[in-house]
Amino acid sequence: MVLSNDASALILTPIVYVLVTKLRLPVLPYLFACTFIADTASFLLPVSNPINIIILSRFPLDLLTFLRLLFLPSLVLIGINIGIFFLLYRKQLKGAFEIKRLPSAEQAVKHKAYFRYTCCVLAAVAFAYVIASATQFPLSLIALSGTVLLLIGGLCWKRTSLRETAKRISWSIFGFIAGMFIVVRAIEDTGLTTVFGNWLIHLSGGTSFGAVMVGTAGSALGTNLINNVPMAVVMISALGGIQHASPVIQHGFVAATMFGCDLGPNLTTVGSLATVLWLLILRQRNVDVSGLDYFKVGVVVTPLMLLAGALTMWLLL
Amino acid sequence: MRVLCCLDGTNVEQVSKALRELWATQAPTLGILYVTDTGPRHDIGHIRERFLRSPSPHGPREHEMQQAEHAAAQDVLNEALHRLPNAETLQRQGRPEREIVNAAAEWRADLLILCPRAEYGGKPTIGPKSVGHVARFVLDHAPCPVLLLRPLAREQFPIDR
Repeated sequence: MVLSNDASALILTPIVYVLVTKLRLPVLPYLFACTFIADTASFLLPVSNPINIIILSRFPLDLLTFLRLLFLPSLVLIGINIGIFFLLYRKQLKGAFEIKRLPSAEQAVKHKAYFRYTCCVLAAVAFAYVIASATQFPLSLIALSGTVLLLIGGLCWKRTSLRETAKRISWSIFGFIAGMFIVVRAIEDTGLTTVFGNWLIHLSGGTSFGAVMVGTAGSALGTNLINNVPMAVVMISALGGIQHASPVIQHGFVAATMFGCDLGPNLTTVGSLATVLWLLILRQRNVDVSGLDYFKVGVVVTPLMLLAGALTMWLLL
Repeated sequence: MRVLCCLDGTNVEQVSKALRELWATQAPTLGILYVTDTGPRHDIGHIRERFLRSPSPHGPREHEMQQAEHAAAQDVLNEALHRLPNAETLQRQGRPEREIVNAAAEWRADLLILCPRAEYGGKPTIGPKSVGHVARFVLDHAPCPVLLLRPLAREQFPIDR
C-alpha cells in the first residue's frame, strides 16, 4: 500500500523466500502470493504504484475521489485474491510448521539503532504520502526526501556506501521510461493515439459502464503485450479526448486505466505476450515448468479479479 | 545393490520404512539425495525483470537466500541420516527432476526410490494428479528401475469398475 507494488514485490519476495525455505514449506504458493498481492493492493493509494502517479499527473483526481473509486474495489480484490489462492493451494497449505526453525527477533535484527531509525523514517514517509496525496503536494519530493534520509542513516551506521548504493540502482529504468515517453510522443504526433483514444471512447458507447469495462480490458490486454509502463503512457495520450466527456465517464476511464495497468500484469510473468509464447515453446520441450505455473495461476485469477474490480468500480461511480 | 533415495523434505519416514520392509536381511548401499530447487529463484528473477531490475537480488539478500537453502538441505539430510545412518549423502542444486536422473546415473544407482509428490497433510490422493511433474519426469527418464512409493490409500477403494 505505501511501499509501492514493485518495492513490495522486490523487497518482500526474497524475505518470504528465505522464511519459507527455513520453515521447509512449499515455496511457490508464497512466492505467487507476494507478487499477486503486491499488484492487487497497488491501487489502495495513489502512491501504491508508480503507474498511478504517472496517470494522475496527467488526469488529477483528488484523494477522496481516488479512494471512493479504487479503495473499495481494491479491498474486494484482495479478498478474492486470498480466497482463490487458498482454494488453488489448499493441499500445500495443510499441515503445520515449526516456528523454532526461525531465528528470534533479537538474532534477526543485527543493528537495533539502525533498525529503529529506518522504521521511523518509513513510518514518516508513509504518513507524508497520505498527507501529500490529500493536498496534491508532489509525491516525488516525499519519496526523494525519504530516500535521502534512509541513505544518510545507512552511511552514518556504515550499513552501505555511496558506491554500493549506486551499483544497486537500476539506471536502465530511467532510460527505459524516458525512452517510452519519447516513443509515445512520436506516436502521438502521428495521430495514432488520438485514433486509438477515439475508438475506445466510441466502444464505451458514452456510458460509465462502457468506460470502465473498455478502459479496464484495453489497459489490461495492452499491459500484457507491451508492459504496464508504456501502456500507461499510451493510455494517457489516447485519453486526451475524454476532456469533452462527462465527469463520470472521465473518472471511469481514468480509474479503469489505473486499475487495468496495475492488475493486468498478473496475467503473465512479465506483462509481455512474447514471454508467454516463449514459455509455451519451452514447455513443449519439457524445459521450464515454473514460469508456466505462474501463467496458469494468472490466467485463472486475473480475469476474474479484473471483472470483479471493474464492476465494483462502476457501482461506485 | 546400490539404492538412491530421493528426499523432498516430507518423505523421510516413508522411505526409511520401505527400506526396512524391503531389505530386512541384507542391507543395500544407500544414498540419500536432496535437490534444492532453483525454480523459485528463476521466478524471483522473472519478477525482478518485470520491474526492470537485474535478475538476482544483490549482496546480503542473495547471501541470506543461499544460506537458507543450504540450511534447509542440511536439515533434511540430517533428518534422514538419523533413520538411515549408513547412507551416503548427496546434495544438488537445479531442476529437481533433471538433477535426480543425472545423480542416479553418476552414482550408478541400481534402483531409484522416490515419492509421487511432497505431502503436506490431508488425505492421500489417487488418480492422474497424484504423481507430480518431478516424479513423472524421473519415471520417464531414469537410467535404472524406479520404485515409486505411493501412500497407502486403501480407504479410497474400490474405484469404479
